[in-house]
Amino acid sequence: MPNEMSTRLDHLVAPDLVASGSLTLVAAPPSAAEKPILCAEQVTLAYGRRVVLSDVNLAIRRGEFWALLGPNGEGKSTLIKALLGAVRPTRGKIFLRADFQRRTRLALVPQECEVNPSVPTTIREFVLGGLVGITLERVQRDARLKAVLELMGIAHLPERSLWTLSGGQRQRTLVARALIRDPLLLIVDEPTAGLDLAAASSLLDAITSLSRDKGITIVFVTHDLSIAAKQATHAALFRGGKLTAGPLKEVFTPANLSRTFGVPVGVHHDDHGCVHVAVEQAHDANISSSPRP
Amino acid sequence: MISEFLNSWPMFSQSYLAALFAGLLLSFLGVIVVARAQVFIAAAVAQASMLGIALDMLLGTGQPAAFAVAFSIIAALATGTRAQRSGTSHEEVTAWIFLLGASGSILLLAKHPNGLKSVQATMASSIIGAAAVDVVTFATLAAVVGGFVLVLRQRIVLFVSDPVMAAAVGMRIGAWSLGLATALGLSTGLVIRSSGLIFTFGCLVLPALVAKNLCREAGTMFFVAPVVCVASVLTGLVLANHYDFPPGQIIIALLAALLVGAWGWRKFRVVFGGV
Repeated sequence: MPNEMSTRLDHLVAPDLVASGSLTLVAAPPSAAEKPILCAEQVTLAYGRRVVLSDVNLAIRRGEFWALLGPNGEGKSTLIKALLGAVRPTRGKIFLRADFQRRTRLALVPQECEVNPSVPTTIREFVLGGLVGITLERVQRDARLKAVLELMGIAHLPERSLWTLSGGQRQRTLVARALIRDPLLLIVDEPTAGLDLAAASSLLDAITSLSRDKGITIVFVTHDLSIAAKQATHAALFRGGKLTAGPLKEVFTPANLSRTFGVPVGVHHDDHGCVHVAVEQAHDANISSSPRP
Repeated sequence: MISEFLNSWPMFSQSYLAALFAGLLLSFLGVIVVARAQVFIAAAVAQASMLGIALDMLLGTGQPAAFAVAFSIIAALATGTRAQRSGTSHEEVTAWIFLLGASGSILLLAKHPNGLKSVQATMASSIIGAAAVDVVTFATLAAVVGGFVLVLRQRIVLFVSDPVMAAAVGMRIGAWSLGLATALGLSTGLVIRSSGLIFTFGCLVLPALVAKNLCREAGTMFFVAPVVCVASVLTGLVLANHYDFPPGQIIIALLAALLVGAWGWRKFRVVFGGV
């Protein structure tokens, strides 16, 4: 079925699966020579006269998993709003690769549901809202809806009001709305904030499997060093209005992490190439230590 | 009662049609206003257009519609964009415009012969007295705005509910804000001059609030609100004609009563339907 979608997906997608209308991305190895999907050059972001970030340089390529880390108020959410076009840089430029400029393969999972809570909406309507800008036949649309609801474990709730859901279910609905766009680039802004441990863990598993199994490029905003160490291929650290960004092993140094978080952080790489981080308190090191093979 | 109404049609047809088309126009826009939680902004825009009408009267230019439209567009734009630029909250700007409009329109005409009477008449006026040009204007605007919201309602719902996601998927949210504020200002300014503040503000927010309580999805509100408004306008006109009451006020009273019923329905649905 040589439809618009199969054209856009090019060689990355199995055509028979595209025809089914479900999520069909196939992982492809990222190439250093490949043009970045998204690129920020000498970007400065400000609200009025208050500069939030300056001289930001970033190049995100296909298949990479970026973790954006830093304390509150350092500009993580502002940067992703700028990457998405919701905030305009006061200096510098942000580029989307030509095949992304129509933004049909780009999606966002916000930190929380910012919909006016007095507006009625069902999960079905809310998730279908993610298809804005994408023309699909009804059959394809319904197939995508079914696929993402099943993937997020909320297939039994399509007619439920968004406002009667638990926090975890609502966050899964936000992810489903992003995934229905069949994205190649997924920007995720602290999706586990406010969730209990079980719900957070389950949601994280769902998101990280998208990167691992489907090759979706992910930009993930988090406070959690262990998630970054375990999942990310690249990291960007925010501190004092500046950004330190690059491959995880280059960025995750004790000096960088300690400067970013204001506490001593130990880092070591094991024989398998896994990165381990540990926040060192007083005399002995403890807390998170998570491998990333 | 209905035959009486039909008999009155030849005499008041322009007023009746103007009320129907104005209600239709405002109810489409009202869904956007309510979905963006901007009911107070609608009140401020309406008051700003009153200030425009008062200024026109003071200057004696004889262009109340132009002044009303200009002031309401400025108010709608100011309430929509000011907060993004300077960190001032929408509520602050909206309250300022509302109060300036309400007090300024009185102050401007305090020393003007018949000025205060005119302002009070516009604030409380009903819908009788519309001209053919009003009918054509409201019908055209209702068709344009109605077509726009019905075709693009999925985009509108995303824009009003989650502007960051809307920007992420390529919608130009600045242009959308500008366009919607202009449409709101233009429509409010035009309707208020011929139909008064109460009818304008009431038709803007009440049908959408009724629809919000009746509907399970935001997209459906774009169909339900106009139906509720048109039905209320027609019923109000029939009742006003029969009981010799001011029609604008009757229509708004009906919509207010419907809203109470809609609240009850929603409560019932939550208690017994679990949604």
